[in-house]
Amino acid sequence: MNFALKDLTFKELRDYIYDKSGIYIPDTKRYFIENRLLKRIQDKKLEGFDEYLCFLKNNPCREEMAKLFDAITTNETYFFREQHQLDVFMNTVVPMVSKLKRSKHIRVWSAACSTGEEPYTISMMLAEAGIMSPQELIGSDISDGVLASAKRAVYSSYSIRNVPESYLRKYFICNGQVSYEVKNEIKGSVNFANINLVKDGEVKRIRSMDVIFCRNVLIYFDDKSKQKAISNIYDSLVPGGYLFVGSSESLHNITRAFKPVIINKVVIYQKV
Amino acid sequence: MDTKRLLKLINDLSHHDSSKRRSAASGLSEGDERAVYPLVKALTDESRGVQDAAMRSLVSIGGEITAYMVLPLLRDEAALRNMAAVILLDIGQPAIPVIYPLFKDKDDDIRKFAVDILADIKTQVSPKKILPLIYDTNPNVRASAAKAMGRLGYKEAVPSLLKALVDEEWVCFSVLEALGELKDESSVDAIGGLLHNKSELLRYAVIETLGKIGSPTAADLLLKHLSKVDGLEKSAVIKSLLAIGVTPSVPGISDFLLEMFVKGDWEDKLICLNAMVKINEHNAINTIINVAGSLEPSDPDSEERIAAIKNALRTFGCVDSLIDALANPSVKYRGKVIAIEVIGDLGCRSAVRYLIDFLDVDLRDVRRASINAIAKIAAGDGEFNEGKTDMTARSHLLSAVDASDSHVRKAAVNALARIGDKAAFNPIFSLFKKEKYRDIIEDSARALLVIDKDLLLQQSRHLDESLKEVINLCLQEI
Amino acid sequence: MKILVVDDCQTTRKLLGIYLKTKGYDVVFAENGLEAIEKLGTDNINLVLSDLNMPYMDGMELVSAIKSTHGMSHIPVIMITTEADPEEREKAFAAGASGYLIKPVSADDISLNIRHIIKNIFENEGGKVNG
Repeated sequence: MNFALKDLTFKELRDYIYDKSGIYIPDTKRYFIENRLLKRIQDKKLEGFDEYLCFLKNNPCREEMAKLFDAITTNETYFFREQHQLDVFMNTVVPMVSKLKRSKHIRVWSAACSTGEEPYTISMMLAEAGIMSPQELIGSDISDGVLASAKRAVYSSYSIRNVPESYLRKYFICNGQVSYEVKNEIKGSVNFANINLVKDGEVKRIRSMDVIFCRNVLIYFDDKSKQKAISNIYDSLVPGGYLFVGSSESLHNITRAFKPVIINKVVIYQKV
Repeated sequence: MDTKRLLKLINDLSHHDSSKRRSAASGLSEGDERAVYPLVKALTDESRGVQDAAMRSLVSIGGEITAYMVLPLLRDEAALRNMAAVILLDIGQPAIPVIYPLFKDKDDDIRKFAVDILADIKTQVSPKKILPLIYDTNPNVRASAAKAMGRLGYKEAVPSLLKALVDEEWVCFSVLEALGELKDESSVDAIGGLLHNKSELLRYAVIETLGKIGSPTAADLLLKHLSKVDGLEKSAVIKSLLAIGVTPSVPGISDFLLEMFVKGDWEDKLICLNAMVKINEHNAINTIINVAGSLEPSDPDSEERIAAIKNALRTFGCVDSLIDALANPSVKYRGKVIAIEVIGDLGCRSAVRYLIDFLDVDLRDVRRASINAIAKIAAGDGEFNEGKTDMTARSHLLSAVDASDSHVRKAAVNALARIGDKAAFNPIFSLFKKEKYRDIIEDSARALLVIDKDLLLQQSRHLDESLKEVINLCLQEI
Repeated sequence: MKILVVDDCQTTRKLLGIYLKTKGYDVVFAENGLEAIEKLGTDNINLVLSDLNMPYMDGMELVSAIKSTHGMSHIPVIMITTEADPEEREKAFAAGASGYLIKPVSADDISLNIRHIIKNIFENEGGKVNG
């Protein structure tokens, strides 16, 4: 078996992934791709990267592509991640948006929601504040695999480690300390969709959002894809709407379209 | 794009609704030269969303004509100047020929803009054409031209740059930056001559530049300088020496390395890591593990960084400080996982007692890393095991077959299969009968076939049809 | 005292950083106006030293944003630019800049300017700048 990733194969794999997803893998992240794809090759019992590339090109079925996206983009996430941002969302952004709209009907999109922890967290926080419905909550990702898990909504103790005790009792069904299932009322509040953020046509399905969460996603894109994704997200927001990116991410060298707003040391971007 | 649609979009650029204007500006990205002037005007739209879309569309139309029509904006107010600079930079190569003539502009800022943009475009830019500007009348232009030589990697500029070392402080700083990037060993002596310059700024720059060039002569100069300085300047010298790969034996070097490792950026961290391995600095192990554990897991760079740290930890070997980290409450759980994985790779038998305790903890990743490490040690796979199996580890693998975490069960079964331990037959067989996960059922069947094929076939008569089928499938594989 | 240096050129950021550190100031950096706003909102910064020409948000826009943002408007901003045009200088002061230096500058130019501005603030407003 030859598990070495040759230069040419790396470049072809990189172009293929970029073409299909907008995710760019620079030379410096070669190790990352090697590490993540090795498992796919072993699972498929293939002989190496060359064969995997051939397999992808000759079987352009959604199934392997979905697994490829899973391998590259799946990172473990958890409930109540970056709590300080969520607090600003609940305590300041939601009241501001509701006041402006004169309605509690707020629309939130968790773009790149992975296995669903983020949209469910948002749903639980809204429910806790008595804003249960009829808000609209959308969770999207590029990978069907993670979306299927999101819909199942069964989580390990790792995912729920930051969930406050009261939420755990109220919104989860605990299966003998091993797994935790989100209750139906919360499950039913989130609509999931497969959306590629760099494809205008796909993002167009989502419009008039009041708040968008796009956290820890931009790190996967090159500048051009970042600009595309952020431009698409801008168009999905209502004027005055807000965008949250991960606390270690920034739009400062991507676009001048948004106005940075700072609340309790959290940077949020407003469409003005 | 047909004329009718193009005109409609151009018309929409004056619509009262900003979202219509933005969508028109975006739509014009597929337009032609007729869209350029209207888009240039849209750069002053009151909505920043429209400005942004116009900028992107001008880049997307691109070409020499667009570049030419954007040039006058460089003389406009700050916001437009800077949008023009971004557009020219992103248009890239087709913009190059229209920028060169700006070198003769009488406005200092325009000449500087031209040099800066070209240095950023890089590809197909001729450094030879920029070089004369290191003698420009304006110091900011001279500094930009010098920097450009470094960025464009133009080694032929070294003699001219060395002459420019006598320029004023502000320019000389950029010249040193460029020389550092060009890494030309022949420039070391001339640069070293500035180590005693009265400008503190230039002394720092010289120290860093010598570190970047990294030749033996540069290292010698720095070592000699080290004894003459203190405070911040001394730290700068040590940092440069470390960058070259020389760890100076000065008092307090361990603390210095540790502090730089914790506070520095990743490049600094790697430099320190190498130095700490080289001087066998066991006391740093806890800190190294914690830094690895604190790397953001969703950052794609983290995987390679963690690999580098694990590699360094492996070089230390099965030392007490590594084993002790497992019981140290100051080491956070992600760090523990990394330490456990290293211990498994190395095969540190003295760690087995901790690993066994970890099989019962709440943290899934710690449990799974521990069972994998125990499996490696039990099978004698680790670097330090020399193929010898470990009986304590082996007996714990047997009880792990019953664990509540399915990953732990699976890892235990697979490890026992590799070892081929006869004593494992019964525990695995009872797991095989009650397991609910298909992949573990299959792995158990494979393990049983390896451990004692005849016994399995003999006992399988009393099993359910579905389990018999699994055994048959696995037999076919063999 | 913590100073935010805003410049799109890495070499200039580094140079100004050394100037300020050798004069005893703490220094943080941003590469354009947008990043500067983010740093100002998340860090405790006492003074801003900003370039004029930068992509995505320039120095002039930055001064206006700082002066119109609640909780930031008291932070003095010194423009430090290659633009020698008196008109630009006037615009910067009109937008709310407290100082205007033309590159190249020396470490002494900068620290003199900083001390002068801080002295003015203390005399005129009772002083909000710490350190």
